[in-house]
Amino acid sequence: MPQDQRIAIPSPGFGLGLRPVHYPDFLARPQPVEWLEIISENYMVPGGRPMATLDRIRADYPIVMHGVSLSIGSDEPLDHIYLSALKALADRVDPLWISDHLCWTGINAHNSHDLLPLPYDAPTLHCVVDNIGRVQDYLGRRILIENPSSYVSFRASDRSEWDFLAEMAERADCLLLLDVNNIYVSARNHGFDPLDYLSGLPAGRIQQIHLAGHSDMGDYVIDTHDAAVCDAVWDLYARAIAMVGPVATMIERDDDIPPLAALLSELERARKLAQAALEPVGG
Amino acid sequence: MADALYAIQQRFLAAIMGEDADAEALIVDDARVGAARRIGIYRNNYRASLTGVLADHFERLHAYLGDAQFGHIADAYVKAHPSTTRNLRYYGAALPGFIAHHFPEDGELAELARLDWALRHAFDAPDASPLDAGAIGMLGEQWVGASLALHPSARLLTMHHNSAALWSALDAGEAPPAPAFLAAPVDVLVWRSGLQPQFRSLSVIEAAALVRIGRGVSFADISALLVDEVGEATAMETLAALLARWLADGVLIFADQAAAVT
Repeated sequence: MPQDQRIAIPSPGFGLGLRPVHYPDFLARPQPVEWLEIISENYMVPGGRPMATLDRIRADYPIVMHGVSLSIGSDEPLDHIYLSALKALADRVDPLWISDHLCWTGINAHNSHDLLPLPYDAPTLHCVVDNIGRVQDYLGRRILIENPSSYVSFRASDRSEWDFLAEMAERADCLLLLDVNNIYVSARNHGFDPLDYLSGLPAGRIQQIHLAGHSDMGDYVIDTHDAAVCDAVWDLYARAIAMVGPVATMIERDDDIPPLAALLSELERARKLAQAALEPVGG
Repeated sequence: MADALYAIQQRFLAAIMGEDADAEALIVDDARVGAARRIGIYRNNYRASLTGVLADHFERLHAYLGDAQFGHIADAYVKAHPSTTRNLRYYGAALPGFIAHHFPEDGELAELARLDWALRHAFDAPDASPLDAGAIGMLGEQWVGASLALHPSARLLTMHHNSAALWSALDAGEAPPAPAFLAAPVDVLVWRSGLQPQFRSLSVIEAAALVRIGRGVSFADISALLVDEVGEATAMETLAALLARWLADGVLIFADQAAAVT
């Protein structure tokens, strides 16, 4: 089956999201991560400390670029000012890969600065596949698209998110960034089985995994990235690795950011879980 | 026929950005959470991310006003100024003017906001190698006629209140002095020295010189200005002191460099 083909590059190992509060740690001494992920927009600025620090850290670590403003699902022409700034950053950083989300962030020159969900239907699929194609042509490389977390389902949707992602990835010939926490969050919010989601994706196109914490509001869950990864997400991560094989994995933390040591110890848990998940049964 | 994606997105975004618009009909309803609360999550996210970035960009104004009053102003600004920027870094440019308009009696508030915003600009403004003694020496005699410019991070602000002192006290975590109207306005230079944004108050003559440098005059023009202003006897001494300070601060570049980075 085509979806069993391995299109993603071999895993470069385990990484963390680079955040300014940890700059001194990365500048002072080598840290036990194989790569770092940057939020692209944080470095789409002209100069000063962000760019100077990025250049220094880039000299010591491979970097992947993760964007939050591409708005691949907006039903309007792509923003070429944004795209050219993204390409200029990629030319400077020479990243391992570039990712953004299956979402839209705004329309008609107004921006929500949020990863808004899409209706999952044929016209949206056409729009997203078309836009991914244009972006990949412009950047000269495949991009990774991440599954979002969401709080609403559109009445217009006529298929599951995982069916949408699977067809999108095949038709656009792009790669996937699997956010395991987002699957958990959306499963709780919309009432689907996370294992149906995992098994519905083309495993050979998954090139990166995100792990993060969330806020449990009881009736629903919000993707806040302000807490440690919870046990249910760890369990789901082990399932994902068992299904997909070794995949570049990192922890995302954007609020209440702890000392680097705490994130490194969470990452160590990911390493151990992945190793155990990949061991032959009974071995 | 179902709504086109563009129409769905316009309607949904309007409901997030404004509390009057309604997009519940687009959303699957349910007994547990309900369409209205679900859309409310996005509405809260939008308001919280924009007010949060305002608190970050206007850190000393926030400290001066406190959470409650700053939050009130930030909420009003977000309602009046829906985001049209792709990168949150650039949201809030109109806040100083918004505050000046709504709080004309408290002039120090808009000045604190202008100072915060200028420092934020200095933080990540374009890089350019500032002039130093070596670069001037290489030009020899030609140096005095070369057209100059301010470093791309530099901004000149005119303060009518003791806002610079307020900012510095807040930055040090001290109780700020009472706001006060100055007997004469003072110009402040905001710029980035190395990687560090900073500001300092200027004498009348230094401000006049830097305003002219911002327009591309040469060092010879600045010499003539000083001779006119302070007389030939002290002009050379003042000029030497100003140049030494500007070179140490890293605030001058050649005008052709400025053309290259902008």
